[in-house]
Amino acid sequence: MESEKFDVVIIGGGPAGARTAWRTASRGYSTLLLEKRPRVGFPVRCAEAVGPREDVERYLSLDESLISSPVNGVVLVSPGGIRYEAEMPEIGFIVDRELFDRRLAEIAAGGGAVVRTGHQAMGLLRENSRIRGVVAKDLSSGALYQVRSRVTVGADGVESISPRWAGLKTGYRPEELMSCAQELISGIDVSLRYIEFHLGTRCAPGGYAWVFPKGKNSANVGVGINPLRSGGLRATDYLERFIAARCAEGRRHRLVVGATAVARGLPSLVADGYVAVGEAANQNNPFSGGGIINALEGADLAADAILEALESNDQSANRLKTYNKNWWNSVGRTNEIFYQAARILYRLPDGEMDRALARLKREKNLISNKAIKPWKLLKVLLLSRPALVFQVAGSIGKGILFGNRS
Amino acid sequence: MTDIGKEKKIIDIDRRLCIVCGACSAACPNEALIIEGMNLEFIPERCRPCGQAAIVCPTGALTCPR
Ligand SMILES: Cc1cc2nc3c(=O)[nH]c(=O)nc-3n(C[C@H](O)[C@H](O)[C@H](O)COP(=O)(O)OP(=O)(O)OC[C@H]3O[C@@H](n4cnc5c(N)ncnc54)[C@H](O)[C@@H]3O)c2cc1C
Ligand code: SF4
Repeated sequence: MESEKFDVVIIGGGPAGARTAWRTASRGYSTLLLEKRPRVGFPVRCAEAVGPREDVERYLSLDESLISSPVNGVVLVSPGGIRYEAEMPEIGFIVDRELFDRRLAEIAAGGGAVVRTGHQAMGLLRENSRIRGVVAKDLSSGALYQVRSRVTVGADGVESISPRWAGLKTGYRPEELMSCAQELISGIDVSLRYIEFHLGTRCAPGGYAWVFPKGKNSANVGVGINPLRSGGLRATDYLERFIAARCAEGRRHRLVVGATAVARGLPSLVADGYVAVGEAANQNNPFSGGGIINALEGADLAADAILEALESNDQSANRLKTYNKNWWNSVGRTNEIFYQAARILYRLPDGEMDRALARLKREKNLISNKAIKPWKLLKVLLLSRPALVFQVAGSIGKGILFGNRS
Repeated sequence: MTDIGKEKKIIDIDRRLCIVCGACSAACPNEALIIEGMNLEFIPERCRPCGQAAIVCPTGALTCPR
């Protein structure tokens, strides 16, 4: 078997992998990015919503070609049909996700990373229990080859198989995956600039349905459900039902299906010679399932630890674990609160959900800095389930301790 | 189209419904469903079968006869 050597090999060319690749390559470490699909970012499996400009522009410049629509507010429709509208200026954007991912990969290549599409990691290489690279497959020739590396990065997205190889997790339970279906629909009445969320067991049990504007009179219209609460129906069945109710008149252009992880954060994201990042590492927001910006933030924290490890020539888990701490003290902590909030909201019966949303609507200062304040959200939701206060407090305490464990 | 396990039929994959989204691969605890490039591969020797992948599939392309 042929063998190559890189300082860093990265499995997966999504936002998490591309950003990590740019960070290590641009510091002079030889970096290989493996992406199994023939084209980075294609096919798109996303509703394409990202946060405010200042968050996105830490990673790439948001020029006009990337923007499908700015988002300046949110419409929430409760199970009982009550509509809440909130003006939230410049809260985010609907982007062209394919171009977005391609740009990030181009930035990585521009920084010196070798980007290989159509090449798949098939397993990890080990030496004395330390991870030492990957076995890869050139999918066009079928040839297997070895890539030896000092650090291996698992950025393989929702399939998230490399963290299992590395012993970090066992996989997902069905309810940890939001099963999603979406159509790009044109010729419909959308409030350009507002994103819509619809809740309730009829439209999206254990999740939500969405309408995200893609431009004049078109939108990504989708549903994400908890597959254990769907009464045997599929995400595509709920999508049909939602389209019939919301925009039956529209023309359909592109069906997207997929799962997004709404799982709790992992206690550890590292092994000897290995780091997991992005959705593969459960870094999605467990309340929304969104994970583009989280993957980029995770990549930066991972890269900080990888660079330190490479510089000190110690790639042990013990050295890399500053990443655990930095993750759990920042986004990981917020995600833990969102996780608890999601567990309450998405399990409420419709009537109680109506009341919970009415309370959220009355709550002042739920939004600050163009984002939901997770503690406020959780506080209001706990009013629907006061008996859970102590249990939730205990879980959060445990979650936050993950970050400070030695 | 169906995939047949070693002895018994373990799982049906309706290739007309499958969009190769990878949800089943994420849900399968045993790496019996793997997306290779742009293809869904089923490895019957690894299938237990537990039914988790079929539950999560957004299109109903997977069914477990047992
Ligand atoms: C329907 C849907 C709608 C969504 N909407 C939004 C949204 O509006 N906003 C938002 O922020 N997030 C959204 N998400 C979630 C978001 O898409 C993910 O959180 C994000 O893509 C995570 O980035 P990543 O880099 O970790 O993984 P990915 O972007 O999934 O990248 C992983 C890459 O690794 C590749 N790969 C996997 N295994 C291997 C291997 N063995 N070898 C080589 N390559 C491999 C894959 O082909 C893939 O390209 C949505 C998800 C779904 C399913
Ligand atoms: S989850 Fe369903 S649609 Fe997606 S790859 Fe698996 S069988 Fe195909």
